[in-house]
Amino acid sequence: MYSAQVNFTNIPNPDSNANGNDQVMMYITNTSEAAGVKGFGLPAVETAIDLPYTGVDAPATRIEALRGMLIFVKSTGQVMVFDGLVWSKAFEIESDNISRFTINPVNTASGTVFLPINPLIDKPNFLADPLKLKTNVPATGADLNRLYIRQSGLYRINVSLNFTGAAGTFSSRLGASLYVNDAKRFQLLENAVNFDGTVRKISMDFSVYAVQGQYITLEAISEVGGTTAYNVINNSYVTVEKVL
Amino acid sequence: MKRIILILVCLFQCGLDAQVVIGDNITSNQNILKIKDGTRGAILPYSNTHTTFPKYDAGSPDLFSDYPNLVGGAIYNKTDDQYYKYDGYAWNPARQIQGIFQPKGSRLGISSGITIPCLAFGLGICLSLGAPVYLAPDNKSQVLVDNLLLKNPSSVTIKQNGVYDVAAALGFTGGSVGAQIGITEFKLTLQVKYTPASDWETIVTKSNYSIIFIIDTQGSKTSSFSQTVSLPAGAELRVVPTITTIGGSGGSLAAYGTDSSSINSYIGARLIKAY
Repeated sequence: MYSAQVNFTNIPNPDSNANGNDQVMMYITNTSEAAGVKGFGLPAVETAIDLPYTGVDAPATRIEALRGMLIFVKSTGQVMVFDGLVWSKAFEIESDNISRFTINPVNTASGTVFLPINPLIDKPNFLADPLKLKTNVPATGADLNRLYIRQSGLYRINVSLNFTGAAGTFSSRLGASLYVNDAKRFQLLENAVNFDGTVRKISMDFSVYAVQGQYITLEAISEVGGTTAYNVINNSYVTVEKVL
Repeated sequence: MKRIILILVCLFQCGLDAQVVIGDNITSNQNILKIKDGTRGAILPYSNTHTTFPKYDAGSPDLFSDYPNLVGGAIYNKTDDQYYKYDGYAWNPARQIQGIFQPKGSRLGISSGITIPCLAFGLGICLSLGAPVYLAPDNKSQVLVDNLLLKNPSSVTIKQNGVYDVAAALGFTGGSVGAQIGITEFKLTLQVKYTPASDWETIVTKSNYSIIFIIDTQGSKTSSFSQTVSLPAGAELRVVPTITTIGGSGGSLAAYGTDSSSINSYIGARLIKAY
């Protein structure tokens, strides 16, 4: 009974197909725009402070049953969604399609090392995640290195790394590998500029088509025959832009 | 909540277009369905993961089948705690512009590949004869769209002066067949012909590389880069691949081909700022 399709139109079986395997739980559809468009009115509150589970009523742990709850706020004209812990805008388009994270310092003695991607959000310092690449992703184990794709499409991924190493190292090129679901897809190499005598820095842009649910990992590399022992240090970043 | 759903189902199984208010006795003339104002919200259907969304199809390039009757659908994904909307081709996060409707972007698939013959033994060089052609038909299910109108009958040209982010990706097939030791570099060069009468000019060359052993065991190799560049209207774009081995020994390199899959081979452009 509870899985029935509800039809708020006078169109009989608006989603019927040959198998009767409907894909829509509830239709709220205008049958004729000429006869007047009518909408779907969400419950509304006057201002954001009227939203439940805010302020002193904010939950300490996620309220599982309320994940996805929608309320319209009249003063801002925004639909807000509750994830069980906090409210956020549900449908307003993000001002940008760019997520940016710091890369935790890491060392290697083998020439390659996977890059741990810190999920910290710090908007004043331009660390943000509107693409939700790290939302609900554990910051431990293999997941620390992963960026989860939420929308199929074309992405530009900039990897900016700072390297240090022993004297005489970095005679060959440095670079980064990009993996999709643990399969190596790209490796880019650059001649690293020793801009201050101690730190080598590279910045490279990958282009990758990825689909929802895939995860991307990154790896620092040095050219075969080059140094094998080096450090990836502070002020290293990964920036992901959804192009299409 | 169950009681409300039960009432809903009982009332509307037959299909009505009346104004309905849930939780109140005040009618709403402007809505088909209105839920009572106040601090109780509405929850639309959820899914724990995108693989159980309606019309999920792991074999589709964008993971979902096309289904016009589902346009406008909304569903909450507990994996990343956000709503998704269905545009007729795929489910997209509610707070992102769908890629296929991004007005300032194009992604063009490969319509005609090339063969890249190689000379090997010690130092191998594979010279491409021409450049792949990126004029595949648009396909929204593969996020192949030409919203910048770059495609002409036989070329790809910029239509608007501006600063662009140009992305190039190419998959290589075939290649090394011998037991070689060394490094193979897969280079992509972005070239521009600024006017029909001018020569091709190289904008940037990027090196993707691999030790040869990886090619033998993992099959096809892919390379890509993205580059910001200022381009005038009328500028023609092409991507030229080259392959070289450095310090290789033994064996030989067979001819390479180009992968026509739109996942691995494409040229993309996004208009950052028009002049």
